[in-house]
Amino acid sequence: MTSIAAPFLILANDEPARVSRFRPREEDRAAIEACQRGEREAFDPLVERYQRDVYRLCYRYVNNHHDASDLAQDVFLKAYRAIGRFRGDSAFSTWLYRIAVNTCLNFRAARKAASEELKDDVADAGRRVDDRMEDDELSQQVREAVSRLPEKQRATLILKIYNDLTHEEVAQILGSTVGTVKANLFHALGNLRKAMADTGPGKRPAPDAKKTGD
Amino acid sequence: MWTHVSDAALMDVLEGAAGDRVRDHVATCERCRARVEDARIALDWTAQAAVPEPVPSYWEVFRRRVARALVEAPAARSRRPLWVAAAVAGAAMIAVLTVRPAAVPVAPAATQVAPLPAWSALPPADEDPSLPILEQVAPTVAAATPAALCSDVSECVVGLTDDESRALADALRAQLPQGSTL
Repeated sequence: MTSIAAPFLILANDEPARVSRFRPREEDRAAIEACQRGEREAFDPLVERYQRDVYRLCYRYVNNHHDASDLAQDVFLKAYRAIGRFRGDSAFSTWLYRIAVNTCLNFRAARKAASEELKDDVADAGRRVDDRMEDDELSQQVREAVSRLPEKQRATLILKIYNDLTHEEVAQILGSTVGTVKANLFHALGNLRKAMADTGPGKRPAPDAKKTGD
Repeated sequence: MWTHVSDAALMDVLEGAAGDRVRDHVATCERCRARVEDARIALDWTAQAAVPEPVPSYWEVFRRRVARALVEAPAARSRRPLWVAAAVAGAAMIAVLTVRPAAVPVAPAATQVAPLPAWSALPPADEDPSLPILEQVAPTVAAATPAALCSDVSECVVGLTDDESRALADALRAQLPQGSTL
């Protein structure tokens, strides 16, 4: 798979993904049914609608554009090939994110070097030059800390915070319970706080320093 | 009596969704309050960690790339008819090669052998489960193939008319062991 060059990466507000509960399900359903009838072109609007969310989700896992781009493409290919089995008993976005999470987990498992968790001190050896362009240091530190969280915590945090899903949706995607999702998210935030405190930039005053609990 | 609240309940506090009992505990428990504040700081950090956004034109390129990959993907799945056709052609080739010296005299090739058509779709001989079957039906294939009109095997098979191809396929089916498929 060949990555698409992204010559000018710019930092933009990571606007929350607009997920199924904010979008009529019918909009997806018509396209899905057309795909299931073999109309390949009907998949295009689904790609257009979810490509940013899927790309960002993948980016949160791999922390570089090239891999995120390849993974996002892979997610859509897998979704298209499996769309005949999509029964419509969940939002398309939920189903798609589940494919994305699994794809990212498989990718990371294949890349054992990236599977080190929080205690790994090896930083961004594989990061590309273009990913550093205009990339704020704190933002970068947080992304890297997130990418090193334990798998379930990382998935929970990414889906809940960055893809703006409800606890119920995250639970459905991860095959978990709402209580577990909340606990994992709380653990993830706690570990993120520790990781940032340990790695330097985290020692800087927090956004709301007076609340520091250290 | 409890000592501390669960992590899920602390998450509720952070999200403003906790009940009075939990909030009262956190208000008076230094440890739980500190954990919530730590989590709140981390939550604030996450809001600042934007993913670098590709240029707007990237998304159009991405869509095209996905669309192109989707077009190529079904092509990979539709190989079975080609494989069957190639197997039939391979059967004809084997049959002619096997039987020709004894049963079907063919004029020697006077011209350069034409390049083989897309028979590379055939699996390697040592991985092709249909070869033993095809060898069994080789005599029938030879009889159904107008080899005398061909200068070589490839030309012979490629030159079959639709009716001849169907006749060859029928002959092959008739010769296949029961339950076997190409």
